[in-house]
Amino acid sequence: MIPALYSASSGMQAQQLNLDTIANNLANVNTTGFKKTRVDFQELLYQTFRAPGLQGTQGTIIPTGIQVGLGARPVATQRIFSQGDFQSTENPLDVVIEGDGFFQIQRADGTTAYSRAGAFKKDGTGRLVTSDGGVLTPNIIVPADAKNVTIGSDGTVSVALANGTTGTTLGTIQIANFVNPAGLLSVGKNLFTPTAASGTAVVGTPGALGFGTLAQGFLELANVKVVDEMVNMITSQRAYEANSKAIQTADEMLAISNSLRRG
Amino acid sequence: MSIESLSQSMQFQWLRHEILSNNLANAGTAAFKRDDLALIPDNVPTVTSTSSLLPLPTGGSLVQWTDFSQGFVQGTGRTLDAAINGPGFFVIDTPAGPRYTRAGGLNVRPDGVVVGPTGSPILGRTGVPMTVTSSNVTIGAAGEVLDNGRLVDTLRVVDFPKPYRLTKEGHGIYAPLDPTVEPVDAQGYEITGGALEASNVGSVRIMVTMIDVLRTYEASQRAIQAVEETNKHATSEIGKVS
Repeated sequence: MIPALYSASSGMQAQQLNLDTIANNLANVNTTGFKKTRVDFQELLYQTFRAPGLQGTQGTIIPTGIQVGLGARPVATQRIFSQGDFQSTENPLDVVIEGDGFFQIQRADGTTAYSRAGAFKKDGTGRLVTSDGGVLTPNIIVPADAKNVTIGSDGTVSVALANGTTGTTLGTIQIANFVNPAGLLSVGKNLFTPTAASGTAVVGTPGALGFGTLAQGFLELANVKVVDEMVNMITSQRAYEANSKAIQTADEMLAISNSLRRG
Repeated sequence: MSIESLSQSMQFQWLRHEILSNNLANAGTAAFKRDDLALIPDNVPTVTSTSSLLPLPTGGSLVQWTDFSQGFVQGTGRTLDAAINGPGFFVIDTPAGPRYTRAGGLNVRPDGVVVGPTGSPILGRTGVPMTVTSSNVTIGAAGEVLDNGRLVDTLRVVDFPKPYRLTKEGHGIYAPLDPTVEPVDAQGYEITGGALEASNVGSVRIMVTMIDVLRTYEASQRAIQAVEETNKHATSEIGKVS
């Protein structure tokens, strides 16, 4: 009945989703390899009250017409894959990707997921796994008697063995890339899975054209900037408030017109 | 004042509030341009009432206009975002023909085609959709789309004669009212990669306008009641045969 009420409430819902997203970004400010998201809004369709280009009363052409928009809606949560800062950990199994690419992680169900979080551990058989037990693919198995695990910028993993042999290569960490990383589906636990929108994974050696390089002994911090999120939170909250005022105003106007007829 | 012109004033304030509400709902929509409504008298009245210093309105036309002023350019850290600083529009290739937008949140389809915010391919100066192969796509100051450093094409930015005669199709898309109007290459613009143009809705101005709208609406209602009171008086008392 009254578009103003609904367009303002669509604005409130949009800002609500914006706040949800900001809250999740802030909650993950210390999550390794976390990539922040933002909500993209678009205006809804326009309702035409008077079509532009019609003949006016005195033979003039109405230049613009009157179109009333019906509010806003969120169209996408856009994940921003900008590089996070590096934190030096001096842990030889912490690896960051400097540039584009994702680690390939085999999940418990056998499917491959992709991650930027390179905080690896060894499991009981010496395989490199994530904190949740996802296995790094291709498998790297570190022998029990190995010392000094070295990961090169090209992904080559080598160790020194207890018997004094050095430079034994265990394998190469390969990373995957997507033509549209923004289309990846976030499945939690720092993992992403491919979708029709992301395209299929292109696997390559770190340092090859289009792929980032690896650095050992570092972790990639979340790319969330607390100050930016705070500013977004303030603007979002104020926009929410302003939209609620528009609803109040529409309500008061309705009350005024309802009181036209007295007695 | 007649009841008709007062009720026209109420309808105008109502419609204006609808438009303000839509502006507010789009305070967070990238590159949104605010709309407003004005009541312009059809003809300037030649007869002024002796009892009032104000000329009596004799009907008017509602004129809607869009404020195309620049929204501020906000850094996003997302390389596929592009903001136009200055006049002009990006060109997207929709099934209905070319359309124009300032919302520069670009995306890459799985087949590598660079698309605008509604999923339609965005056009470069060569007039064909752009295809990229890597995920490292950046946008330069003249709108160059660089795919891992390789120049794919330069984003086309076009402009129309001012005042703009464009219609909003929703989703940030504009179309010329007269489909035969051909845009020209825009002049004096700059493109910022990794940034989006914010909505040009200023909430202070809207709040003030909203108070204005509400109180004018209220005043018109009071005036209608006063006119009605006078009419009642005239019919029930002056006309009374004693």
